[in-house]
Amino acid sequence: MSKSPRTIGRPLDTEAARARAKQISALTDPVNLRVLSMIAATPAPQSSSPALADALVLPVTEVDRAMTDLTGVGLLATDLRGQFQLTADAWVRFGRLLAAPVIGQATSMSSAAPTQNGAVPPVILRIVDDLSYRFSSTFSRETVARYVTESYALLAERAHIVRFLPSLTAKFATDRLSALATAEGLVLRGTPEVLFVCVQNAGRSQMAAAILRQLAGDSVHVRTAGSAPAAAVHPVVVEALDEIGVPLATEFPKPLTEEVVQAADYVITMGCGDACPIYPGRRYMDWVLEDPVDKSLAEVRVMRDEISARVLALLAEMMPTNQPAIR
Amino acid sequence: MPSSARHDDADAAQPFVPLDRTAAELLARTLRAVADPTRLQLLSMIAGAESGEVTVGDLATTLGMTQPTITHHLRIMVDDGLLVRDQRGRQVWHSIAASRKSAILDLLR
Repeated sequence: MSKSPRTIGRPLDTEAARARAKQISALTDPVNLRVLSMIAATPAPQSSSPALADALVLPVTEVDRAMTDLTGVGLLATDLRGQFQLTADAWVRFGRLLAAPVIGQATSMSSAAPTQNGAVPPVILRIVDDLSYRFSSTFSRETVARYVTESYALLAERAHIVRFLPSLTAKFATDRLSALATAEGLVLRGTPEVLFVCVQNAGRSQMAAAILRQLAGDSVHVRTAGSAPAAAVHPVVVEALDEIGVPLATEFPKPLTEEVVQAADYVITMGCGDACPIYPGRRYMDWVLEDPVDKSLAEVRVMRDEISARVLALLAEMMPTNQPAIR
Repeated sequence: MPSSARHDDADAAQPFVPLDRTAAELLARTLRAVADPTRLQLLSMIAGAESGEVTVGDLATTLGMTQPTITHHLRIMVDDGLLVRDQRGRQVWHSIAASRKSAILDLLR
């Protein structure tokens, strides 16, 4: 029998496997599991141990013990207000398990725009070639072709996006395919995925995403979308960010698509109301912010600073252990 | 669950129904099957396999463990329905049960 080397996955390194096993062990205790699930489901001001004990019909001492266990393995941490919160690890690894399945999740998404009718321009086929190469270890050419043509159709149907349509298509399709790979677990990312959604994807969500990218670098993966995307990012927003040295050059408004929401661990909505579908087991937040459209630069600066403060608070929640370096 | 009715940020009403006691006990039992570093390493190798399935020999060689040790760990996960076992000829192949795949992949992140 020939022993041809088959491609199997690289094992988790021992250290990583041990850390995960410790977290999972903590959750083999049903009380710990219920406490973590209840905190995930409860807005922070009510996540005190007496309130939790009440909700779970458990003695306070049991709940306190569970909170200590969970904090010890890095699944819970206290936020700036001293409230217990799930850590990014907890959301990323266990969020979807901690939510009871909800029956009848309705979703209405930008998807499968008809593409069979007009011929696609040759450059789109070129993009299919390029991305098939790039994603060759993850997706078949057919899958890549479907996402590229659909992304093209989604952008092209907004008649005002004419300039740079091919390169925007390539970028949008790349984003979607990498989200799909994450959502389907084809690539294992240790980093939390954050999605900002607003209406036009031209102001609020772009500012928040740009600031988070600047602060978090590779330790967080950031995406944006809009429920009714505009033609371009508002110039005043680009300018206000440039003033604080945050680049926004290559971003563009894009519609909300299924796989991008599926891939997210944290979803922050800003005024898009019910347009953003809800999947159990993600951390959802709604930031009430005005739309910067038609606002002056001075007004946008104020918004920028408010968004900046919120992003910092979000980051503190996600990475509570970020300590200043001593070097 | 409309998010527009809320007034402040940070703690939007979670679209989140907490686990009840029965569901928690069931999930805790499943987690017991994976609360072990070696089994997590095995899962990561199976999850990353190009064809989605691997033989005991593949796993033993890569981890540098004996086949009986690997078989012991795999059996625990097969018994719990996390893995699917398929004997073809003299080779036994293991793959991740389709219904558990996304949950397992999250644990490995």
